[in-house]
Amino acid sequence: MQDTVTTSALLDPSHSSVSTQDKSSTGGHTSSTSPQLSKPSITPVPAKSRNPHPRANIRRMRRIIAEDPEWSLAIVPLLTELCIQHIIRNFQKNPILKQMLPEHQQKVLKHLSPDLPLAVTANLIDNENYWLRCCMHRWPVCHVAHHGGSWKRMFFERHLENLLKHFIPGTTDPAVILDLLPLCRNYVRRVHVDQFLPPVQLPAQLRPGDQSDSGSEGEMEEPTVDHYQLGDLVAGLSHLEELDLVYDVKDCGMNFEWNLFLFTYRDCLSLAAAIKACHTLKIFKLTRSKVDDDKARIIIRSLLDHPVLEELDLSQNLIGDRGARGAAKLLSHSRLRVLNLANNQVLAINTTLTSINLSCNHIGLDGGKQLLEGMSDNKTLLEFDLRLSDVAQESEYLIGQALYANQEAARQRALNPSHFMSTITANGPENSVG
Amino acid sequence: MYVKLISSTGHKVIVKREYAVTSITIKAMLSGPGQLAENEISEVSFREISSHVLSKVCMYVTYKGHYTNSSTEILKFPAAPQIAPELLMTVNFLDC
Repeated sequence: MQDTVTTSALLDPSHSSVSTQDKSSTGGHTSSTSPQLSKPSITPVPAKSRNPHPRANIRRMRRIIAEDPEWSLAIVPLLTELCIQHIIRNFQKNPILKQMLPEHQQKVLKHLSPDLPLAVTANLIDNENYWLRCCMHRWPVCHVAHHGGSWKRMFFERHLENLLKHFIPGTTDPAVILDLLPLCRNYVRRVHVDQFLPPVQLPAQLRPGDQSDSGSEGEMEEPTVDHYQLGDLVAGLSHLEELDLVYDVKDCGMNFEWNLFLFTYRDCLSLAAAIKACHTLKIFKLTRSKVDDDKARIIIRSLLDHPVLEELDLSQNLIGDRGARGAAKLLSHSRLRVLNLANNQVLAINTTLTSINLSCNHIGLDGGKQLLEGMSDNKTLLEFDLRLSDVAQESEYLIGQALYANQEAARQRALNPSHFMSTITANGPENSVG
Repeated sequence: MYVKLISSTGHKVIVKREYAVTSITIKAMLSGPGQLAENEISEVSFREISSHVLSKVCMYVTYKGHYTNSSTEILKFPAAPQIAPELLMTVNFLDC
Protein backbone atom coordinates (compact mmCIF):
# COMPACT_ATOMS: atom_id res chain seq x y z
CA MET A 1 0.00 0.00 0.00
CA GLN A 2 1.33 3.36 -0.94
CA ASP A 3 0.64 6.58 0.86
CA THR A 4 0.79 9.84 -0.96
CA VAL A 5 0.77 13.23 0.70
CA THR A 6 -0.22 16.23 -1.29
CA THR A 7 1.67 19.39 -0.82
CA SER A 8 1.11 23.01 -1.36
CA ALA A 9 4.85 23.42 -1.84
CA LEU A 10 4.34 22.33 -5.41
CA LEU A 11 2.59 25.63 -5.97
CA ASP A 12 4.81 27.95 -3.95
CA PRO A 13 8.21 26.82 -2.74
CA SER A 14 8.28 29.57 -0.13
CA HIS A 15 5.70 27.71 1.92
CA SER A 16 7.17 25.11 4.24
CA SER A 17 4.66 22.34 4.50
CA VAL A 18 4.14 18.68 3.97
CA SER A 19 5.92 17.45 0.90
CA THR A 20 5.19 14.68 -1.52
CA GLN A 21 6.80 11.35 -0.87
CA ASP A 22 6.10 7.78 -1.93
CA LYS A 23 6.90 5.05 0.54
CA SER A 24 6.29 1.37 0.36
CA SER A 25 5.18 0.08 3.72
CA THR A 26 5.44 -3.44 5.00
CA GLY A 27 3.80 -4.90 8.09
CA GLY A 28 1.64 -1.91 8.98
CA HIS A 29 4.40 0.67 8.92
CA THR A 30 2.69 4.06 9.02
CA SER A 31 3.94 7.04 7.11
CA SER A 32 5.33 10.03 8.86
CA THR A 33 3.35 13.20 8.62
CA SER A 34 6.06 15.49 9.88
CA PRO A 35 7.01 18.21 7.46
CA GLN A 36 9.81 17.19 5.21
CA LEU A 37 11.34 19.17 2.40
CA SER A 38 11.71 17.10 -0.72
CA LYS A 39 11.43 17.45 -4.43
CA PRO A 40 7.88 18.59 -5.30
CA SER A 41 5.92 16.73 -7.95
CA ILE A 42 5.15 19.94 -9.86
CA THR A 43 7.77 22.46 -10.88
CA PRO A 44 7.50 25.60 -8.74
CA VAL A 45 6.49 28.83 -10.44
CA PRO A 46 9.46 30.87 -11.56
CA ALA A 47 9.42 34.32 -10.05
CA LYS A 48 9.63 36.08 -13.43
CA SER A 49 6.28 34.79 -14.65
CA ARG A 50 4.35 36.12 -11.66
CA ASN A 51 2.51 39.38 -11.95
CA PRO A 52 3.33 41.13 -8.70
CA HIS A 53 0.87 43.96 -9.14
CA PRO A 54 -2.87 43.16 -9.48
CA ARG A 55 -3.53 46.60 -11.03
CA ALA A 56 -2.00 45.25 -14.23
CA ASN A 57 -5.26 43.35 -14.69
CA ILE A 58 -7.90 46.03 -15.01
CA ARG A 59 -10.79 43.61 -14.83
CA ARG A 60 -9.59 42.29 -11.53
CA MET A 61 -9.66 45.80 -10.09
CA ARG A 62 -13.43 45.96 -10.49
CA ARG A 63 -15.52 44.26 -7.88
CA ILE A 64 -18.51 43.64 -10.13
CA ILE A 65 -18.70 43.50 -13.93
CA ALA A 66 -22.43 43.77 -14.50
CA GLU A 67 -22.36 43.55 -18.30
CA ASP A 68 -20.71 40.13 -18.28
CA PRO A 69 -23.16 37.46 -17.06
CA GLU A 70 -20.36 34.88 -16.96
CA TRP A 71 -18.22 36.89 -14.57
CA SER A 72 -18.11 35.72 -11.01
CA LEU A 73 -16.82 37.18 -7.74
CA ALA A 74 -15.02 33.93 -7.03
CA ILE A 75 -11.37 34.33 -7.88
CA VAL A 76 -10.87 30.63 -8.44
CA PRO A 77 -13.67 29.10 -10.51
CA LEU A 78 -15.34 25.88 -9.47
CA LEU A 79 -13.79 22.66 -10.72
CA THR A 80 -17.09 21.98 -12.49
CA GLU A 81 -16.63 25.13 -14.53
CA LEU A 82 -13.00 24.29 -15.23
CA CYS A 83 -13.97 20.84 -16.50
CA ILE A 84 -16.71 22.26 -18.72
CA GLN A 85 -14.39 24.91 -20.12
CA HIS A 86 -11.82 22.25 -20.83
CA ILE A 87 -14.38 20.10 -22.63
CA ILE A 88 -15.48 23.11 -24.70
CA ARG A 89 -11.91 24.01 -25.68
CA ASN A 90 -11.09 20.44 -26.72
CA PHE A 91 -14.43 19.57 -28.25
CA GLN A 92 -13.08 19.28 -31.76
CA LYS A 93 -10.49 16.67 -30.81
CA ASN A 94 -12.53 14.97 -28.13
CA PRO A 95 -16.27 15.52 -28.57
CA ILE A 96 -17.88 14.62 -25.27
CA LEU A 97 -21.55 15.39 -24.91
CA LYS A 98 -23.84 12.44 -24.29
CA GLN A 99 -21.82 11.26 -21.28
CA MET A 100 -22.59 14.43 -19.34
CA LEU A 101 -25.54 15.40 -17.23
CA PRO A 102 -28.23 17.47 -19.01
CA GLU A 103 -27.35 20.68 -17.20
CA HIS A 104 -23.70 20.29 -18.14
CA GLN A 105 -24.65 19.50 -21.73
CA GLN A 106 -26.60 22.74 -21.90
CA LYS A 107 -23.64 24.73 -20.63
CA VAL A 108 -21.32 23.14 -23.15
CA LEU A 109 -23.72 23.62 -26.05
CA LYS A 110 -24.23 27.23 -25.09
CA HIS A 111 -20.55 27.98 -25.48
CA LEU A 112 -19.51 25.71 -28.33
CA SER A 113 -18.11 27.51 -31.32
CA PRO A 114 -20.39 27.58 -34.40
CA ASP A 115 -17.30 27.06 -36.57
CA LEU A 116 -16.69 23.49 -35.46
CA PRO A 117 -16.32 21.00 -38.32
CA LEU A 118 -19.58 19.43 -39.40
CA ALA A 119 -17.98 16.00 -39.21
CA VAL A 120 -17.86 16.49 -35.44
CA THR A 121 -21.21 18.17 -34.82
CA ALA A 122 -23.61 16.95 -37.48
CA ASN A 123 -24.65 13.64 -36.00
CA LEU A 124 -23.83 14.50 -32.40
CA ILE A 125 -25.64 17.74 -31.64
CA ASP A 126 -29.41 17.98 -31.97
CA ASN A 127 -29.86 21.03 -29.81
CA GLU A 128 -31.77 23.64 -31.82
CA ASN A 129 -30.19 26.57 -29.98
CA TYR A 130 -26.76 25.52 -31.15
CA TRP A 131 -27.88 25.30 -34.76
CA LEU A 132 -29.67 28.61 -34.36
CA ARG A 133 -26.36 30.19 -33.43
CA CYS A 134 -24.69 28.48 -36.38
CA CYS A 135 -27.32 29.86 -38.76
CA MET A 136 -27.17 33.37 -37.34
CA HIS A 137 -23.39 33.31 -37.44
CA ARG A 138 -23.43 32.49 -41.11
CA TRP A 139 -26.49 34.19 -42.58
CA PRO A 140 -27.89 37.54 -41.49
CA VAL A 141 -31.46 36.71 -42.54
CA CYS A 142 -33.00 33.40 -41.61
CA HIS A 143 -36.56 32.26 -42.24
CA VAL A 144 -36.74 29.06 -40.30
CA ALA A 145 -40.41 28.61 -41.20
CA HIS A 146 -39.32 27.83 -44.77
CA HIS A 147 -37.43 24.85 -43.40
CA GLY A 148 -40.05 23.20 -41.29
CA GLY A 149 -39.21 25.26 -38.20
CA SER A 150 -35.96 23.35 -37.64
CA TRP A 151 -32.72 25.31 -37.41
CA LYS A 152 -30.63 22.21 -37.94
CA ARG A 153 -32.52 21.35 -41.09
CA MET A 154 -32.19 24.97 -42.25
CA PHE A 155 -28.45 24.98 -41.70
CA PHE A 156 -27.80 21.84 -43.71
CA GLU A 157 -30.21 22.76 -46.50
CA ARG A 158 -28.72 26.20 -46.97
CA HIS A 159 -25.20 24.87 -46.64
CA LEU A 160 -25.84 22.27 -49.33
CA GLU A 161 -27.58 24.80 -51.56
CA ASN A 162 -24.64 27.14 -51.22
CA LEU A 163 -22.22 24.43 -52.28
CA LEU A 164 -24.37 23.55 -55.29
CA LYS A 165 -24.75 27.16 -56.35
CA HIS A 166 -21.02 27.70 -56.45
CA PHE A 167 -20.03 24.34 -57.90
CA ILE A 168 -18.07 24.66 -61.14
CA PRO A 169 -17.97 21.42 -63.16
CA GLY A 170 -14.44 20.42 -64.00
CA THR A 171 -12.97 22.74 -61.41
CA THR A 172 -14.65 22.06 -58.07
CA ASP A 173 -13.99 18.70 -56.51
CA PRO A 174 -17.22 16.64 -56.47
CA ALA A 175 -16.15 15.20 -53.12
CA VAL A 176 -16.96 18.58 -51.58
CA ILE A 177 -20.63 17.76 -52.01
CA LEU A 178 -20.52 13.98 -51.75
CA ASP A 179 -18.62 14.11 -48.45
CA LEU A 180 -21.43 16.16 -46.98
CA LEU A 181 -24.08 13.52 -47.76
CA PRO A 182 -23.47 11.21 -44.79
CA LEU A 183 -23.70 14.22 -42.49
CA CYS A 184 -26.82 15.83 -43.89
CA ARG A 185 -28.91 13.02 -45.36
CA ASN A 186 -31.10 12.73 -42.27
CA TYR A 187 -31.91 16.42 -42.12
CA VAL A 188 -32.32 17.69 -45.67
CA ARG A 189 -35.89 17.64 -46.93
CA ARG A 190 -35.84 20.41 -49.51
CA VAL A 191 -33.22 21.53 -52.00
CA HIS A 192 -33.74 24.89 -53.66
CA VAL A 193 -30.98 25.85 -56.09
CA ASP A 194 -31.52 28.92 -58.22
CA GLN A 195 -28.14 28.91 -59.92
CA PHE A 196 -26.07 26.30 -61.72
CA LEU A 197 -22.70 27.44 -62.98
CA PRO A 198 -21.41 26.11 -66.29
CA PRO A 199 -17.87 24.76 -66.63
CA VAL A 200 -15.07 27.20 -67.27
CA GLN A 201 -14.57 27.71 -71.00
CA LEU A 202 -10.92 27.96 -71.96
CA PRO A 203 -10.19 29.75 -75.26
CA ALA A 204 -9.78 27.24 -78.11
CA GLN A 205 -6.17 26.74 -79.13
CA LEU A 206 -5.23 26.67 -82.81
CA ARG A 207 -3.80 23.40 -84.01
CA PRO A 208 -0.59 23.57 -86.08
CA GLY A 209 -2.37 22.72 -89.34
CA ASP A 210 -5.05 25.36 -89.01
CA GLN A 211 -3.17 28.48 -89.89
CA SER A 212 -5.49 29.94 -92.51
CA ASP A 213 -8.89 31.44 -91.93
CA SER A 214 -10.44 29.05 -94.39
CA GLY A 215 -9.79 26.08 -92.13
CA SER A 216 -12.79 23.99 -91.36
CA GLU A 217 -14.39 25.04 -88.13
CA GLY A 218 -16.74 22.11 -88.20
CA GLU A 219 -13.97 19.81 -87.05
CA MET A 220 -13.65 21.61 -83.73
CA GLU A 221 -15.55 19.96 -80.91
CA GLU A 222 -18.21 21.98 -79.18
CA PRO A 223 -17.25 22.72 -75.61
CA THR A 224 -19.41 20.90 -73.09
CA VAL A 225 -21.58 23.11 -70.91
CA ASP A 226 -23.17 20.38 -68.84
CA HIS A 227 -23.88 21.46 -65.31
CA TYR A 228 -23.49 19.54 -62.05
CA GLN A 229 -25.18 16.18 -62.45
CA LEU A 230 -27.60 15.63 -59.59
CA GLY A 231 -27.84 11.85 -59.75
CA ASP A 232 -25.50 11.00 -56.89
CA LEU A 233 -26.76 13.83 -54.73
CA VAL A 234 -30.45 12.97 -55.04
CA ALA A 235 -29.68 9.29 -54.51
CA GLY A 236 -27.82 10.13 -51.32
CA LEU A 237 -30.57 12.26 -49.79
CA SER A 238 -32.83 9.61 -48.39
CA HIS A 239 -35.52 12.00 -47.11
CA LEU A 240 -35.69 14.46 -49.98
CA GLU A 241 -39.23 15.71 -50.50
CA GLU A 242 -38.88 18.87 -52.55
CA LEU A 243 -36.55 19.74 -55.41
CA ASP A 244 -36.69 23.28 -56.75
CA LEU A 245 -34.22 24.01 -59.54
CA VAL A 246 -33.45 26.92 -61.80
CA TYR A 247 -30.67 26.53 -64.37
CA ASP A 248 -29.65 30.15 -64.22
CA VAL A 249 -26.57 32.25 -63.54
CA LYS A 250 -26.83 35.23 -61.25
CA ASP A 251 -24.75 38.39 -61.14
CA CYS A 252 -22.97 37.66 -64.40
CA GLY A 253 -22.65 41.39 -65.05
CA MET A 254 -20.58 42.20 -68.12
CA ASN A 255 -19.71 38.53 -68.54
CA PHE A 256 -23.15 37.79 -69.91
CA GLU A 257 -23.32 35.10 -72.57
CA TRP A 258 -26.33 33.15 -73.79
CA ASN A 259 -24.61 29.82 -73.24
CA LEU A 260 -24.56 30.50 -69.50
CA PHE A 261 -28.27 29.68 -69.47
CA LEU A 262 -28.28 26.38 -71.32
CA PHE A 263 -30.14 23.47 -69.76
CA THR A 264 -28.44 20.80 -71.85
CA TYR A 265 -29.76 17.53 -73.09
CA ARG A 266 -27.41 15.63 -70.81
CA ASP A 267 -28.52 17.73 -67.86
CA CYS A 268 -32.08 16.79 -68.68
CA LEU A 269 -31.38 13.06 -68.96
CA SER A 270 -29.43 13.04 -65.70
CA LEU A 271 -32.12 14.99 -63.90
CA ALA A 272 -34.88 12.75 -65.24
CA ALA A 273 -33.06 9.64 -64.03
CA ALA A 274 -32.46 11.21 -60.65
CA ILE A 275 -36.06 12.19 -59.98
CA LYS A 276 -37.34 8.89 -61.25
CA ALA A 277 -35.23 7.06 -58.69
CA CYS A 278 -36.20 9.35 -55.83
CA HIS A 279 -39.26 7.73 -54.31
CA THR A 280 -39.68 10.32 -51.56
CA LEU A 281 -39.99 13.32 -53.90
CA LYS A 282 -43.33 15.05 -53.46
CA ILE A 283 -42.69 18.44 -55.08
CA PHE A 284 -40.61 19.01 -58.19
CA LYS A 285 -40.04 22.45 -59.67
CA LEU A 286 -37.96 23.25 -62.73
CA THR A 287 -38.55 26.87 -63.71
CA ARG A 288 -36.88 29.59 -65.77
CA SER A 289 -34.60 27.05 -67.39
CA LYS A 290 -35.54 27.28 -71.08
CA VAL A 291 -37.08 23.82 -71.01
CA ASP A 292 -38.54 23.07 -74.44
CA ASP A 293 -40.99 20.41 -75.53
CA ASP A 294 -38.42 17.64 -75.94
CA LYS A 295 -36.83 18.15 -72.56
CA ALA A 296 -40.20 18.57 -70.90
CA ARG A 297 -41.35 15.25 -72.35
CA ILE A 298 -38.18 13.54 -71.06
CA ILE A 299 -38.81 14.90 -67.59
CA ILE A 300 -42.50 14.05 -67.66
CA ARG A 301 -41.85 10.55 -68.97
CA SER A 302 -39.63 9.88 -65.94
CA LEU A 303 -42.41 11.03 -63.63
CA LEU A 304 -45.09 8.73 -65.01
CA ASP A 305 -46.48 6.51 -62.27
CA HIS A 306 -44.28 8.18 -59.67
CA PRO A 307 -45.40 6.80 -56.30
CA VAL A 308 -45.60 10.04 -54.28
CA LEU A 309 -45.22 13.08 -56.54
CA GLU A 310 -47.94 15.62 -55.76
CA GLU A 311 -46.81 18.90 -57.30
CA LEU A 312 -45.08 19.63 -60.60
CA ASP A 313 -44.07 23.14 -61.56
CA LEU A 314 -42.65 23.70 -65.04
CA SER A 315 -43.63 27.34 -65.28
CA GLN A 316 -41.67 30.06 -67.08
CA ASN A 317 -40.13 27.75 -69.66
CA LEU A 318 -40.56 27.20 -73.39
CA ILE A 319 -43.01 24.33 -73.28
CA GLY A 320 -45.37 24.20 -76.22
CA ASP A 321 -48.31 22.05 -77.16
CA ARG A 322 -46.39 18.76 -77.28
CA GLY A 323 -45.08 19.31 -73.77
CA ALA A 324 -48.53 20.23 -72.56
CA ARG A 325 -49.92 17.01 -74.02
CA GLY A 326 -47.29 15.10 -72.07
CA ALA A 327 -48.30 16.92 -68.92
CA ALA A 328 -51.91 16.06 -69.59
CA LYS A 329 -50.97 12.41 -69.84
CA LEU A 330 -49.11 12.68 -66.54
CA LEU A 331 -52.32 13.82 -64.85
CA SER A 332 -53.86 10.42 -65.37
CA HIS A 333 -50.69 8.46 -64.52
CA SER A 334 -49.71 9.92 -61.20
CA ARG A 335 -50.94 11.24 -57.88
CA LEU A 336 -50.46 14.81 -59.06
CA ARG A 337 -52.51 17.44 -57.26
CA VAL A 338 -50.89 20.63 -58.58
CA LEU A 339 -49.63 21.21 -62.11
CA ASN A 340 -48.17 24.59 -63.01
CA LEU A 341 -47.40 25.39 -66.64
CA ALA A 342 -47.67 29.15 -66.36
CA ASN A 343 -45.80 31.42 -68.72
CA ASN A 344 -44.96 28.85 -71.34
CA GLN A 345 -45.62 28.59 -75.06
CA VAL A 346 -48.76 26.49 -74.81
CA LEU A 347 -51.19 27.49 -77.56
CA ALA A 348 -48.91 30.43 -78.29
CA ILE A 349 -48.91 30.13 -82.05
CA ASN A 350 -52.18 28.35 -82.40
CA THR A 351 -54.29 30.00 -85.09
CA THR A 352 -56.71 27.22 -85.84
CA LEU A 353 -58.58 26.53 -82.65
CA THR A 354 -61.89 28.34 -82.54
CA SER A 355 -63.78 26.48 -79.82
CA ILE A 356 -62.80 24.86 -76.53
CA ASN A 357 -65.08 23.14 -74.07
CA LEU A 358 -63.63 22.74 -70.55
CA SER A 359 -66.95 22.68 -68.75
CA CYS A 360 -67.57 20.53 -65.70
CA ASN A 361 -63.89 20.36 -64.77
CA HIS A 362 -62.23 21.31 -61.51
CA ILE A 363 -60.01 23.95 -63.07
CA GLY A 364 -60.12 26.24 -60.04
CA LEU A 365 -59.10 29.84 -59.49
CA ASP A 366 -55.44 29.47 -60.47
CA GLY A 367 -56.31 27.48 -63.56
CA GLY A 368 -58.73 30.21 -64.55
CA LYS A 369 -56.01 32.83 -64.26
CA GLN A 370 -53.68 30.81 -66.43
CA LEU A 371 -56.37 30.32 -69.06
CA LEU A 372 -56.88 34.07 -69.02
CA GLU A 373 -53.18 34.63 -69.60
CA GLY A 374 -53.29 32.26 -72.54
CA MET A 375 -56.22 34.13 -74.02
CA SER A 376 -54.35 37.41 -73.96
CA ASP A 377 -52.46 36.60 -77.20
CA ASN A 378 -55.08 34.48 -78.84
CA LYS A 379 -57.00 36.09 -81.71
CA THR A 380 -58.81 33.11 -83.15
CA LEU A 381 -60.75 31.49 -80.33
CA LEU A 382 -64.41 32.24 -80.60
CA GLU A 383 -66.04 29.87 -78.11
CA PHE A 384 -64.82 28.89 -74.69
CA ASP A 385 -67.14 26.84 -72.49
CA LEU A 386 -66.15 27.16 -68.83
CA ARG A 387 -69.41 26.29 -67.18
CA LEU A 388 -69.17 24.51 -63.80
CA SER A 389 -65.35 24.70 -63.89
CA ASP A 390 -64.82 26.56 -60.58
CA VAL A 391 -63.10 29.41 -62.42
CA ALA A 392 -63.24 32.80 -60.71
CA GLN A 393 -65.94 35.21 -61.85
CA GLU A 394 -63.39 37.83 -62.80
CA SER A 395 -61.44 35.40 -64.98
CA GLU A 396 -64.65 34.28 -66.67
CA TYR A 397 -65.64 37.87 -67.36
CA LEU A 398 -62.24 38.81 -68.84
CA ILE A 399 -62.09 35.66 -70.97
CA GLY A 400 -65.58 36.56 -72.16
CA GLN A 401 -64.32 40.03 -73.11
CA ALA A 402 -61.45 38.52 -75.12
CA LEU A 403 -63.84 36.16 -76.86
CA TYR A 404 -66.16 39.03 -77.68
CA ALA A 405 -63.25 40.94 -79.22
CA ASN A 406 -62.30 37.88 -81.31
CA GLN A 407 -65.89 37.39 -82.37
CA GLU A 408 -66.19 41.04 -83.36
CA ALA A 409 -62.97 40.87 -85.38
CA ALA A 410 -64.18 37.72 -87.12
CA ARG A 411 -67.49 39.41 -87.93
CA GLN A 412 -65.65 42.40 -89.38
CA ARG A 413 -63.49 40.11 -91.52
CA ALA A 414 -66.59 38.33 -92.76
CA LEU A 415 -68.33 41.62 -93.60
CA ASN A 416 -65.39 43.35 -95.26
CA PRO A 417 -63.15 40.80 -96.89
CA SER A 418 -62.14 43.26 -99.64
CA HIS A 419 -60.73 45.70 -97.07
CA PHE A 420 -57.96 43.31 -96.23
CA MET A 421 -57.30 42.32 -99.85
CA SER A 422 -56.91 45.92 -101.10
CA THR A 423 -54.31 46.58 -98.47
CA ILE A 424 -52.23 43.69 -99.72
CA THR A 425 -52.37 44.67 -103.44
CA ALA A 426 -51.40 48.29 -102.66
CA ASN A 427 -48.17 47.14 -101.06
CA GLY A 428 -47.34 44.61 -103.81
CA PRO A 429 -46.12 46.82 -106.71
CA GLU A 430 -44.02 48.94 -104.39
CA ASN A 431 -42.19 45.91 -103.11
CA SER A 432 -41.57 44.52 -106.61
CA VAL A 433 -39.93 47.73 -107.76
CA GLY A 434 -37.64 47.66 -104.75
CA MET B 1 -5.87 19.34 10.65
CA TYR B 2 -5.65 16.72 7.91
CA VAL B 3 -8.08 14.31 6.38
CA LYS B 4 -7.41 11.09 4.53
CA LEU B 5 -9.38 10.45 1.36
CA ILE B 6 -9.41 6.87 0.10
CA SER B 7 -10.17 6.00 -3.51
CA SER B 8 -11.88 2.91 -4.88
CA THR B 9 -8.51 1.22 -5.40
CA GLY B 10 -7.30 1.92 -1.87
CA HIS B 11 -5.14 4.86 -2.87
CA LYS B 12 -4.96 7.26 0.09
CA VAL B 13 -4.57 11.00 -0.28
CA ILE B 14 -3.98 13.22 2.75
CA VAL B 15 -4.95 16.87 2.48
CA LYS B 16 -5.47 19.68 4.88
CA ARG B 17 -8.93 19.71 6.38
CA GLU B 18 -9.42 23.37 5.56
CA TYR B 19 -8.82 22.58 1.86
CA ALA B 20 -10.87 19.40 1.83
CA VAL B 21 -14.03 21.16 3.08
CA THR B 22 -14.07 23.14 -0.17
CA SER B 23 -16.17 20.21 -1.27
CA ILE B 24 -19.62 20.55 0.25
CA THR B 25 -20.05 16.79 0.22
CA ILE B 26 -16.79 16.12 2.06
CA LYS B 27 -17.64 18.88 4.52
CA ALA B 28 -20.93 17.22 5.27
CA MET B 29 -19.24 13.85 5.66
CA LEU B 30 -16.70 15.27 8.11
CA SER B 31 -19.20 17.14 10.21
CA GLY B 32 -20.84 13.96 11.41
CA PRO B 33 -21.08 12.88 15.04
CA GLY B 34 -17.92 11.99 16.90
CA GLN B 35 -15.01 14.13 17.94
CA LEU B 36 -11.47 13.14 17.11
CA ALA B 37 -8.35 14.10 18.93
CA GLU B 38 -6.35 16.93 17.51
CA ASN B 39 -3.64 14.75 16.03
CA GLU B 40 -5.95 12.15 14.59
CA ILE B 41 -6.73 12.08 10.86
CA SER B 42 -10.31 11.61 9.68
CA GLU B 43 -10.78 9.08 6.93
CA VAL B 44 -13.33 9.25 4.14
CA SER B 45 -13.69 6.41 1.67
CA PHE B 46 -15.02 6.90 -1.84
CA ARG B 47 -15.76 3.50 -3.29
CA GLU B 48 -16.85 4.92 -6.67
CA ILE B 49 -14.06 7.42 -7.25
CA SER B 50 -10.91 6.19 -8.96
CA SER B 51 -7.48 7.20 -7.75
CA HIS B 52 -6.53 9.44 -10.67
CA VAL B 53 -9.76 11.39 -10.32
CA LEU B 54 -9.45 11.68 -6.55
CA SER B 55 -5.89 12.92 -6.82
CA LYS B 56 -7.02 15.53 -9.31
CA VAL B 57 -9.74 16.68 -6.95
CA CYS B 58 -7.22 16.99 -4.16
CA MET B 59 -4.94 18.98 -6.42
CA TYR B 60 -7.83 21.32 -7.12
CA VAL B 61 -8.82 21.90 -3.50
CA THR B 62 -5.21 22.69 -2.67
CA TYR B 63 -4.97 24.97 -5.71
CA LYS B 64 -8.14 26.78 -4.71
CA GLY B 65 -7.13 27.06 -1.08
CA HIS B 66 -3.81 28.54 -2.06
CA TYR B 67 -5.09 31.14 -4.51
CA THR B 68 -8.32 32.20 -2.82
CA ASN B 69 -6.69 34.60 -0.41
CA SER B 70 -3.62 35.28 -2.47
CA SER B 71 -2.76 38.32 -4.54
CA THR B 72 -0.43 36.47 -6.84
CA GLU B 73 -1.27 35.68 -10.43
CA ILE B 74 -3.45 32.63 -10.66
CA LEU B 75 -1.95 29.93 -12.84
CA LYS B 76 -4.05 27.79 -15.09
CA PHE B 77 -5.18 24.61 -13.43
CA PRO B 78 -3.57 21.67 -15.23
CA ALA B 79 -6.27 19.70 -16.96
CA ALA B 80 -6.19 16.09 -18.08
CA PRO B 81 -8.31 15.64 -21.20
CA GLN B 82 -8.69 11.90 -20.78
CA ILE B 83 -10.45 12.07 -17.45
CA ALA B 84 -12.60 15.14 -18.09
CA PRO B 85 -15.99 13.35 -18.25
CA GLU B 86 -15.28 11.16 -15.23
CA LEU B 87 -13.90 14.13 -13.32
CA LEU B 88 -16.99 16.16 -14.15
CA MET B 89 -19.30 13.49 -12.78
CA THR B 90 -17.22 13.18 -9.63
CA VAL B 91 -17.04 16.92 -9.11
CA ASN B 92 -20.78 17.15 -9.53
CA PHE B 93 -21.13 14.61 -6.72
CA LEU B 94 -18.57 16.31 -4.50
CA ASP B 95 -20.00 19.75 -5.26
CA CYS B 96 -16.79 21.70 -5.58
